[in-house]
Amino acid sequence: MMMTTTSERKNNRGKIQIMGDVLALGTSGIKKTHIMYRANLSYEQVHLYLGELIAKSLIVQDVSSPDGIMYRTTERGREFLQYYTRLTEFLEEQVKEEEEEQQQPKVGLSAAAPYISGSWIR
Amino acid sequence: VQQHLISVGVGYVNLRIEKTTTTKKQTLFRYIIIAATNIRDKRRRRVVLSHIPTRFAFFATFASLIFPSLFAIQSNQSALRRNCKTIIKIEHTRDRFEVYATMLEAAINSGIKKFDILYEAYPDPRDFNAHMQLLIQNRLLIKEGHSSRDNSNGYYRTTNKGFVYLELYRELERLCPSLTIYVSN
Repeated sequence: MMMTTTSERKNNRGKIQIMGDVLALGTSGIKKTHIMYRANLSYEQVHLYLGELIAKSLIVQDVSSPDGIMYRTTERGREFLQYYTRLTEFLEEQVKEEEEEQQQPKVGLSAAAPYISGSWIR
Repeated sequence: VQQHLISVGVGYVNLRIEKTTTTKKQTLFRYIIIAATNIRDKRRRRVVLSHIPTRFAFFATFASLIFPSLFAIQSNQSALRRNCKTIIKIEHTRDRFEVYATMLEAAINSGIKKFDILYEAYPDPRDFNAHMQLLIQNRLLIKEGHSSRDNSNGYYRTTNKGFVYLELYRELERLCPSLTIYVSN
């Protein structure tokens, strides 16, 4: 039997997506609470992902800044971000093309329509 | 008399459970356990083993063989937990990108059927068609009209773009391995 229903967590972000979002926010240095609000993460999730990113040296904690503890994306993190953006572009390319096609008005067809469907052809 | 024989091998004692019906209309089943003993005579064996206390004795031996082994496994596990200070627990939920990568890896070699992709990549079957559609739309996967292997349609193959996707994904894996190991005391 074919299953036509889709899973409930279809639109949920995955681990790589969340990491990509956090790294994109941390390019110019950001506080933990700002990551929470901008990346739509809970306190526990921020702790989990920041811990993992720091362990894999994709992001670093900047304690010396006057604004408090800031998180900055490292070179390794930027490399990750670069690959991640390329991957997402790969998956969204066709969707963009289709959207553009839909947005374009069908000028050629409408202009030619009276002549094609007109009585003088017959 | 209908006879259904189910053989049960337990360790070094081989037991057989024989299911018998007396008449056609009667749906009364009698279960007789026959042990692979030295008794060769069938009549004698049935008479002996249909006797309730004897049957109980066989059940008891069966239970005595099975239960200690179960307890032994449990005691081993508990001993392991007591002795080991750290338990390494591997937790891993596959990302959408990883699912796409596994699907593309399945279709690397010269075309594969849709069902085989499902079988090899183990995506969520509810999302499988959507994943396939997305990969085909983005030209990462291509449907081949004809396969020379068995002259049939419906084969899928990873495109060059798909290979680039896989390379990018491997780079991501290198930078951030997806398997995480949590060590707790």
